[in-house]
Amino acid sequence: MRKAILFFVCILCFAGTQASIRGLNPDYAAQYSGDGGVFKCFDGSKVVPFSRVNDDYCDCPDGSDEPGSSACAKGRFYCRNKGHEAKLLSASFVDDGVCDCCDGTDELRGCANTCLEKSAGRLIELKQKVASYGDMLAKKANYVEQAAARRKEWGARSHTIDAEIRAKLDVVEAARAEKLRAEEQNTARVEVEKAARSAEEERRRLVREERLAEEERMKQVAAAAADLAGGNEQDTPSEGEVGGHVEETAEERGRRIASQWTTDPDAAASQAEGLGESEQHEEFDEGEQDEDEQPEELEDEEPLPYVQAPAHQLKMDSEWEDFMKFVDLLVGYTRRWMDWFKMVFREGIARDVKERRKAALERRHGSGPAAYRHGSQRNYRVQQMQADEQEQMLRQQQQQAPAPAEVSAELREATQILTDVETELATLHKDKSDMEKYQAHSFDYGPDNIFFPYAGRCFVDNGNRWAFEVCFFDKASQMEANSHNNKVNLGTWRGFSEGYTTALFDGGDACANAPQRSMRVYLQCGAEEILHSGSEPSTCVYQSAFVTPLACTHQEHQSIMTELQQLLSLQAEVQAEIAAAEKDEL
Amino acid sequence: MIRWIVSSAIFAIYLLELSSGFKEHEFKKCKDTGFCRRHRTKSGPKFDVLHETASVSGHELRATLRNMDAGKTFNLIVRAHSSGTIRLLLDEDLDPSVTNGTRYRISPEDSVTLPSFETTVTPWKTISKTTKDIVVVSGDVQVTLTFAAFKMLVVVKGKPALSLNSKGLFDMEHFRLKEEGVECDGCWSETFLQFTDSKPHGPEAMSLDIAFPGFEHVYGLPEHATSFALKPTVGGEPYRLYNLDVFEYLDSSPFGLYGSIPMMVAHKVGLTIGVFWLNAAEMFVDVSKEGSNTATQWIAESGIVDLFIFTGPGPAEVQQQYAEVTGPTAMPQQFSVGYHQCRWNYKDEADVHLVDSGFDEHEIPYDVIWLDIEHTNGKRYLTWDSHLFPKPIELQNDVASRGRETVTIVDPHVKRDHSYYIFQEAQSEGYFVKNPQGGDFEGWCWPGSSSYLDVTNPTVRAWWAQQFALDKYQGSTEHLYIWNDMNEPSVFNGPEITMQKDLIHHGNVEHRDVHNLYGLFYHMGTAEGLTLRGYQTHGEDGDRPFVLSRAFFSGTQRVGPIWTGDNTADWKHLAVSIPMLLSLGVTGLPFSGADVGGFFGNPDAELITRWNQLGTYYPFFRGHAHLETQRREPWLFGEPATSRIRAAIRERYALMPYIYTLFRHANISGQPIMRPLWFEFPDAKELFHVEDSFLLGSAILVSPVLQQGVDNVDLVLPKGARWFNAHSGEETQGAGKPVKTKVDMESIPVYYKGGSIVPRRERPRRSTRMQMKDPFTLIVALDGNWSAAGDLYLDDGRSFAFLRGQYTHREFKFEGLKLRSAVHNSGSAVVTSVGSWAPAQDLEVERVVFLGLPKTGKGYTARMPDGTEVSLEAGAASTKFSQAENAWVLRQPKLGVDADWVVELVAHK
Repeated sequence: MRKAILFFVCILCFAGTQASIRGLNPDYAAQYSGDGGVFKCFDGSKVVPFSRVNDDYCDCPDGSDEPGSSACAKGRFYCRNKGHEAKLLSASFVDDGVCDCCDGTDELRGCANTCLEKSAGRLIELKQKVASYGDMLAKKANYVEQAAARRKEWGARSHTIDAEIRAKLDVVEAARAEKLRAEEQNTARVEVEKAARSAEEERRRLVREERLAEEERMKQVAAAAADLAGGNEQDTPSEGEVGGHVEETAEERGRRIASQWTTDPDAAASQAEGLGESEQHEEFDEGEQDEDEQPEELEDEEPLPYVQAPAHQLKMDSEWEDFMKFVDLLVGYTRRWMDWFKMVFREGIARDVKERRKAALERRHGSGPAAYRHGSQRNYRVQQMQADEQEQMLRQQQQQAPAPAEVSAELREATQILTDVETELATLHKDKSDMEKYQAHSFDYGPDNIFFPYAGRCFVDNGNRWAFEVCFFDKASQMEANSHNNKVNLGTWRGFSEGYTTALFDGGDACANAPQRSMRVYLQCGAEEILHSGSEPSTCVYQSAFVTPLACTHQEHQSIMTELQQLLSLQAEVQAEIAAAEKDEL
Repeated sequence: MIRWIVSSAIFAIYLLELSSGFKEHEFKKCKDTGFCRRHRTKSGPKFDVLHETASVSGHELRATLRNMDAGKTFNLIVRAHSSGTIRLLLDEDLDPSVTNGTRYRISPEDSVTLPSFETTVTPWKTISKTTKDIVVVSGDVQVTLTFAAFKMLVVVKGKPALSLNSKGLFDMEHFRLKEEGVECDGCWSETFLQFTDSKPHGPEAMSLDIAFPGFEHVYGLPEHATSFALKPTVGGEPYRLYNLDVFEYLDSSPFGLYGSIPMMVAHKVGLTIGVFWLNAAEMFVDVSKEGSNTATQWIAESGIVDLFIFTGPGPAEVQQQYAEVTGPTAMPQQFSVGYHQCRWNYKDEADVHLVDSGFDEHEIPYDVIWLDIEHTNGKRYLTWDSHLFPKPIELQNDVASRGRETVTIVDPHVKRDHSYYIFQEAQSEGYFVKNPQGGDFEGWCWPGSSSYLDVTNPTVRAWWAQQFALDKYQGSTEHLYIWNDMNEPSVFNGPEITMQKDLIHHGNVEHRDVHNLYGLFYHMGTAEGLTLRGYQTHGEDGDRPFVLSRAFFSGTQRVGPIWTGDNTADWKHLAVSIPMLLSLGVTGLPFSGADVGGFFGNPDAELITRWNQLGTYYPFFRGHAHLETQRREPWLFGEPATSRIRAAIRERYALMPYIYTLFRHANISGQPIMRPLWFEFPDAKELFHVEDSFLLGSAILVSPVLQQGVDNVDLVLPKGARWFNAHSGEETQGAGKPVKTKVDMESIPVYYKGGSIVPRRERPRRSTRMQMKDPFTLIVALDGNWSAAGDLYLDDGRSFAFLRGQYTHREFKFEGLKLRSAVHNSGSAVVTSVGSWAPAQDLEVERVVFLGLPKTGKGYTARMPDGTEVSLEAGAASTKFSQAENAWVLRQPKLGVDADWVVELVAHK
């Protein structure tokens, strides 16, 4: 079968007069008529006997005498690729053993004809697209209604929003007062309990101090032993010994030198105990303790290759010491989480967190408009992290049970309510600012304002390490896919171009030796909104494709139907030719 | 406002501080180093040869040397070798009561030198012996050993070539017990920054005083980013040989970099000699000029004196003599002579596919895609980041389907992680370098806390080699090759970013003795791994290893190529790459290159274009870039840069037959690939200092553009030869005088030397593998007598079958208007048989271009072997010579490459 196909290929290339010139682009067939027995180089530099066409020797500097061999550096080989797309191939790829043309004509030694397979994918794609195009157009029409409805809603609400905000402010005030009252009550209660507890606390403190002193003593003994042995002076310069001057530890030096080479902490192990990429991913997903979450006190000692789980520690020492160590550990964890939170808030994810809570509140109360979601991927991650964190907190609370409650149930509730109403207030402010920012006259929302529903909406791709975020009518950015940290501004909204098929962002963050960052988003017709993975085709110039029903057009509908018809008939043709060639060979 | 300005200024200073590059204070100078302070420019104690002990027995001149102040004796042996090499061995006569240590010596079993060299000894003939001296002769070489005070003079063909201890700087310390109250500067312990070297063996340094009478120029001693002809060091720092990972090294400094070869070449009109001290300890070398003489002082911290004097008498002979001791360059994988595309880091599989297809899309050939440290799972080498590279085997096979290979990085630091199999096995077997207390040494590198394989131990190397088997290295294929980085070794938290000297290696050897060898041993173990894998996957003819290393020592040439480390994207680093590579060329390590484009920083379109135009002629041609630089694949600078870079890389591939043949010469006789001009014009004094142009082999002169924005360069073409512009074919007049030559951005000045025949393959393919069946073009550039000669070596480009004679080596000669093809006579004792590589029978010459034929108004006819006559054509499309008046082309002669034939030219009357 395979052989038959190959044979067929060669029949094609040597049959007929014009087609007998291998690799000939039919557009230039007239120049290869062989009239007068000569061939004239396209660039006019030479006239050579026609027998020199495709004789595997380069006569014309422009390569025109060798359309079908690899002899000329500038030669171009045409493959028809019937049933798929025609291709102009560099002569250097002719007869090099790699099948570049799906019809196999670029390799005399033989390649299977894969054009039908190549077009099979396109065929399926076309069929699917044709089948669903009607729905997509309907969806698009729906957007016009959405846009109108939203504008109407905003129009009406613009008169009431200030009143809503004032009303909410009152609620917030009330909640604040309620919380204050609960706090005072709680403080009074705590004072009483504290007095009762202080004696016990004092006893625990003494025990703990003794333990720490013992550990310090052990450390010093170990350090002295190492000093004596003379090998690792640089490893443990004791702070006390150098009169307040803190010397670099071996690890600090390692990290510092590593950071000379790169500011990328992942690459240099210069900041945190180097975790493998994959470990990071996994740990992120699971949210379990990892090396990062070890309390710092432990990290300062010998690097621990394994996570020391609390349960493991409990077995090791006497129960009381274990308990105290465990408390230390929890303090460490909590601090880690607080740091993490601070970081997340700083980076602006606070908005998402608040919205999530607000949504929860609204669900609870069964009222209020659904909050706009900002990129499903991103929300999912935040939820994951939140869930992990809550689980963690819960665990800690349970384990902390032996300690007396610092906060009454009443105060907790009051705090929660205050947080919720503050969040609601923030949302109202956001609504107000959105309404002001995305007023009807602010931007070109396209015919029938069809893009208006995208105002204030962001879409994030599923980049592996770096993610792109596109906020229509606002800006485009790039950030770390996991943490959404290190956001880089790729440009602010510049508008649509090419008949609303491209969205442009420019004037982003500066780039060394290159223009300011900019991004181009190509809109493609499709059923659901999806932002495809972005790329950087040249330095600091980014691009991505955004799938949306809004890019679907009646013209495209027509043209894909035509293409499908053509492809189907071509397919039948090629199949018939292959069958005929097989029969010939037999 | 003022406050704003002040704070901005402070911030700017802070940034400067951060990015100021080379951290000089992190590294030692002579004054920070006890053994250098003790010996530099200081006369040693009086050493005498005890005259009654001096005797000749066969090939050895033996004598006892005595430190007359300390009464301590040393054993001296001077041997003659048949190739004209003199070897001087000097070891301590150990006092049994001093149990402080023994001197480390590199023996032939260490695979640093070739055991076969030991058998080439040849007898001395004693000319005279008195109570003052003894004179012995072997061949053209005469050695006079003067007894009091100790001195040695080497005379070659009646010309003084080298004298030892003529200035009395010679010294050799001896082992002693530590005595309280006896002053000894830095002998028993010394501290640099926060690091203390415990020095349990006390002083054991040596100082050699080597003078070159009548030589004004000395070269070699890599690796330093400095001039090719070594500048005097008086008043400055000596050249330092100590393998170090230097962050942002300077472009002009005697400072020691990643590798060390203690080999120096001295050249003058009529004589070239070489000196090689086989010693891997830290070394400082001073150079001073006194009139027309050059004097040098070599100070090493430990080990023995094992000094080789190569007596030439020509530059080629010195290279051959050095190759006899340390081995010639390994025959490389042909793909490794192509263009390599590297970056820290091609971030994932999609990125690799994008870069790979970018080359095809832009029709630029390339052979290898490289993956830096980020491809691993947390810097655990021999593993993959499963998110970024989930399907490494499919990836490599896909790249290979278009005739290309993949390289991954593997470094000697091993992450201390008990769940990492390499760490687990190496730790349980005790394969790590030890600290003085006997525990595994722990240092800090990319993965964080790490231990280091003790590759000085052959058992460890053998174990390491096994790790590269396909079933061991998960995700590897036969198309995967290796890159060894950080093998100086680099230890981020160690003194000078390396290991402390009192660490302990196999056999209770201190790190101080083997420091400069560590990188070679690691490189060797890795390459051995690929060789083993090759036999497992390819059967009896195996697969040549390809392992790039950053650290090196003498002998590295037998293992694989090196590159000049982390250079910078500026014009100075572009320029200094030439003297750096020339130095490696004349010290036996020709397979080397500098990162094209510069590792740190961002080259602009002009710099990257010029760098590629030069890189075309580097023996090792790789583009590389730092993690935090902008992407710079060849097509990212837009037109016209893309076309210019494409032309440069395509030219590399066109020259592949010529360059691969040069590798064969390096492999047979240790000849450099990139050569200083004086190498081919040894009597032209005006060329002795030239380092801005060079020769590729003997036939091609390259004069790169090393300055920004220039439209002409000052060019000196050596006199005594005809030169043909390689781009136009025009003969250039005025050899011997500086000529202002116009340059544009399209190319750099390159010339064929008259008298050469250069084989080329003009079809720009995807990769070297895709060129294998293409026909050849012969460029016949004639000398003043209308003669020319050249050769062509061919084999399968990848296996060891050439060792079984499966190669074709042809010689082309043009004389009396006759072009003749015959078997090449290697003239080498190593290669005696005539090879035969079957696929060569299908290869043809498609074009012969004659440059510089006698002028004739009417042209030439070629009388072909079958008796037919063919007219030569003027110029030819694809060799760019259509403009040249005196370029004549024999079109499609269909001459078999592997056949003997004669084509005779007849001038039309």
